Amino acid sequence: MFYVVGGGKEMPKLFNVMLGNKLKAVRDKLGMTLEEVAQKMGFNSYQTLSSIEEGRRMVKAVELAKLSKIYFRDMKYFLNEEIEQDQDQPVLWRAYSGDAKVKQREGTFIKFCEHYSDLEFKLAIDSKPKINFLTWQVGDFNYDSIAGLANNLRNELQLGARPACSLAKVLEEKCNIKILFLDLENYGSAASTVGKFGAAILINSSEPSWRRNYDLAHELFHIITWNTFPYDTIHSFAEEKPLVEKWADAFASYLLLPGEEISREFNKNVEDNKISLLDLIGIAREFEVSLDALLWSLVNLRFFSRQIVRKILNDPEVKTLDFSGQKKETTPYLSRRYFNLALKAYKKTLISKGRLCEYLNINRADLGKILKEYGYSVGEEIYETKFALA
Amino acid sequence: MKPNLLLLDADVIIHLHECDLWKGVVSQYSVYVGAIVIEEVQYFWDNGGNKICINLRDAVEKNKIIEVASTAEEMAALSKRLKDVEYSELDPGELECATIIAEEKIADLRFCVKDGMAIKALTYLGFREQILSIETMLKQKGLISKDTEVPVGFSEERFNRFTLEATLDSI
Repeated sequence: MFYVVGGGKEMPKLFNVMLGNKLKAVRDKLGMTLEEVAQKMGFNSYQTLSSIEEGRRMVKAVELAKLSKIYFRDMKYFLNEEIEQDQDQPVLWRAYSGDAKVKQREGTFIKFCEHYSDLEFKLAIDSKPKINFLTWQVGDFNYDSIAGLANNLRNELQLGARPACSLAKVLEEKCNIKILFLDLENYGSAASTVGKFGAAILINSSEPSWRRNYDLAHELFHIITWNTFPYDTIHSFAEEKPLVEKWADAFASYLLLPGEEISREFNKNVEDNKISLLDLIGIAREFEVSLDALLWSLVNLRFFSRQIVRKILNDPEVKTLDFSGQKKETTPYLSRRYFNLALKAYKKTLISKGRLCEYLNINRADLGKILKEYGYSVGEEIYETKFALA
Repeated sequence: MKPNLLLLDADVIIHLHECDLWKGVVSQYSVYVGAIVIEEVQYFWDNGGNKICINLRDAVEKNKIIEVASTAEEMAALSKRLKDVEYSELDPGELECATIIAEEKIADLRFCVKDGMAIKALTYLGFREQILSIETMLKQKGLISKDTEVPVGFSEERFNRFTLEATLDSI
């Protein structure tokens, strides 16, 4: 064991100093105070935590396990001296509230991305996104070019006539884009990031499905233009919506609402040159988008004038109608792909069962129940059985 | 005098509660449990789907089980020894217990493990002779009869498969 000694007074151990520095850096990054964390840890005083951060107090394993959870980090990040303090991972938030709690949601999101990428690495799967990042210049963007981009991508990804229905699955399974559904409450509706773990999108699970689909398509625009629009040029507290955000909205609309299909459905429902509100809502549900998005798309297709759409949308009864019958589905927190990768890594003994539960963010006692929810209805050991091929 | 037994992973404790064997194990062995595992094990589900609380802290206070702990630094040292093998991904509770074993903090200690990766890691570290499968641990003290067929996860056969794999890996 190596100790630093000086001036006749015992100095803190190198390991404790390294650990203290990492703990302090992570706490600062999350915007948490000494008092707040000390309270969560059950310390009598914040000075205990302060001593730990200064490397003057030895850290018990059980304390580090708790701190790792509070800081959304794996314990190995703190234990391994070779893992250096990481750089800030830029996360682009939609409707950024600026609340400190956003940082903590961000921590969960980044941890998920790292776990996802760890699993891919262990299972020898390439974690790079399989999607073309645009190399356009800013001057190349306008509503026409964005419409073309959305149409091409829809065809390339074979999203079909109802793109919203398959978008999440296609993005994860075909394009290797990681998707996490998390209850963000009012702290933001969606976010995206591109880092060493690949590309990832965070969606607010408490929003209705049509909103989530739209957010997903919106964030996809940010992913493919990640190299064109630097993160800090979009990430702004400005009251006026930045142009890039308007382009991302347009892209989402073009991607999820193919003109030909919308026109066909619209014309089917027209009688005496009129269409009922009920039918409009029906079309929106069919395409899994909001009435808002559908109406603006109909303006682009020249079925309605802007004035009429504004009038419809300003009617309070319309808003109620659009939301009614829109049940908030319980989207799984983790996608099926992620779940399957974690289970596979466990079955290959690449991770322990405890780690599996950490990856799935569940208590061990609940694993059986969760397996059942994902369609694995028998005791988990049965999956260790291997069958010989004929 | 009761033999010393470290229950290494939370799973073993949860399963023993599910099968109503916990009290028997505690009566036959001096049971040691890691501090992280004590925090981690909180409840189990009975056959009727009811959530039943497990309070290991209370069991420690009533001297029914003994709490053991390690430091972050000791854990870091063990992690270093495991970093070059593919089964280094133990969870914190298992890693703490593995550290206690590696540091030889308790004399004449046997340990019971269910997790495949933990069995492999301990075999790799040279503790094969001290590990018990749940089946052996229960049958050795007559907590279940010798001819009882145990669930796959408890079995000596599964346990031997993992130790063999780890032995072959280390060659």
